[in-house]
Amino acid sequence: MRLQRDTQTEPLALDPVDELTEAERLRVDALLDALVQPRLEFELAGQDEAVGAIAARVRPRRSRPRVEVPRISLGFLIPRRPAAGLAVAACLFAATTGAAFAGVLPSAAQRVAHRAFDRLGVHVPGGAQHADGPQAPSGGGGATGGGVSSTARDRSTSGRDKGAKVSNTASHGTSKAGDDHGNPADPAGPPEATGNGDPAAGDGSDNGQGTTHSQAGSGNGQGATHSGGQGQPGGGQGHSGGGEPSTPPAKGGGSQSGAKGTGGKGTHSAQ
Amino acid sequence: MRSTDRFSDVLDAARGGEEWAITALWRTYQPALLRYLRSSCGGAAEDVASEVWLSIGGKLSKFKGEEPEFRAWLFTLARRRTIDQHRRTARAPLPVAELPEAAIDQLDAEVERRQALDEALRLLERLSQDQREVLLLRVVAGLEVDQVAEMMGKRPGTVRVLHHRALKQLANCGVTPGTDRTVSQGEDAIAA
Repeated sequence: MRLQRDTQTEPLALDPVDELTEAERLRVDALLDALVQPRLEFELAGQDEAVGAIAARVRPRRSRPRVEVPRISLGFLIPRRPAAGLAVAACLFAATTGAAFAGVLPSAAQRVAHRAFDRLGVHVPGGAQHADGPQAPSGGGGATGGGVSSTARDRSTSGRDKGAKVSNTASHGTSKAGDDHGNPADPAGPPEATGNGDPAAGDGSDNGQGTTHSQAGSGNGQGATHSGGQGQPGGGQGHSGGGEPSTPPAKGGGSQSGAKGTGGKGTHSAQ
Repeated sequence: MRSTDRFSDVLDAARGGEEWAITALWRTYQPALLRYLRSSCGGAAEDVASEVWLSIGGKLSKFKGEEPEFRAWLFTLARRRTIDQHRRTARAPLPVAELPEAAIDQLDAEVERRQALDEALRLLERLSQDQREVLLLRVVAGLEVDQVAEMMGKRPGTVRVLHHRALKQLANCGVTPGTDRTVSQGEDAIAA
């Protein structure tokens, strides 16, 4: 390497050549020549090991084994031909519509179908009719919880009359709620009917009290529901006069728990 | 590296793990790298050079550029490794590594060249660290002033001044590498 002026690339550079004597320049030239001399053998010692190590660092990126991830093909969902696709779609639509008319769709889907067909003027059972709880027995005269609920909400009556009305609605007129069975509040007239009934003849369990009317009829009387005269062991609570021990419980037994206003709770617990 | 090979082709092949290309790169740049490191790291030069090359291998796929950029990248990594080495040893650069004994068996010409190289590197120890680094990067590594300035975090004018002062100081040291002997060597010979 020789010291040369590089005025084009380094116009402002200090030029050491101008300041060096000939002897100094020779020394510097010799020194620089020694620094840039061709490669020496010892400098290439260990070439194979070095190249192997470098290649090992380079190769992993290249030769990294690919992990085959199984792909789920959804191609089967895409029809091959438009006609086949239309046929499949038509079949699905027909099946869904039939299920909707049969009322066997899941409740949410049934309600959607009900609304959709209702707009078209076609009656399709709503999902609410069998959405919650056991379905009302057909023998019950079709009194639904909705009817009972609306009766319970009716403010034209109150108290005992309202309870009787609700009970009648629930039992389709067979309930005797509201009949004069005596005054349960009268301390002088102890209940007579308790124990008169045959416990085996009917359970007469009155599970509609309180909850039924407290929700639907805002606390309409306890007397609105009754057990149809069926005495309960240890019963007689509020049922003075006992009524008709031999009378089997009316359908629905006057006890009903379906007046919650949800339209789907019209279950009759009387057996 | 064969003259007919374009650098970019060799680099692409090296990225692909082709040993011939990696060998070509290594044989081309290893001597200059080793000389730079021998002056900077002394006896740890070969170890540091290996670290530099391994680092090159690991990052080669991300490198973009041609030969000048590759050269600058190589010596930038070497300089960083040198700094790390100095931190590890926590002392001044070691003296220039002595030649292995196997060198004695080689040809006379080779031995003379190696002696000249060692002497030149030993002379560089008389320079300040910045001067020596500028001289090595400019002369041995063959980098441009701007590249050296960027690498060292200095202005190009500063690099030129350092380069000039280094040459001036070497010219005044009174030793011509490979062709002359130092006074101390003569004294040693007389004393022996």
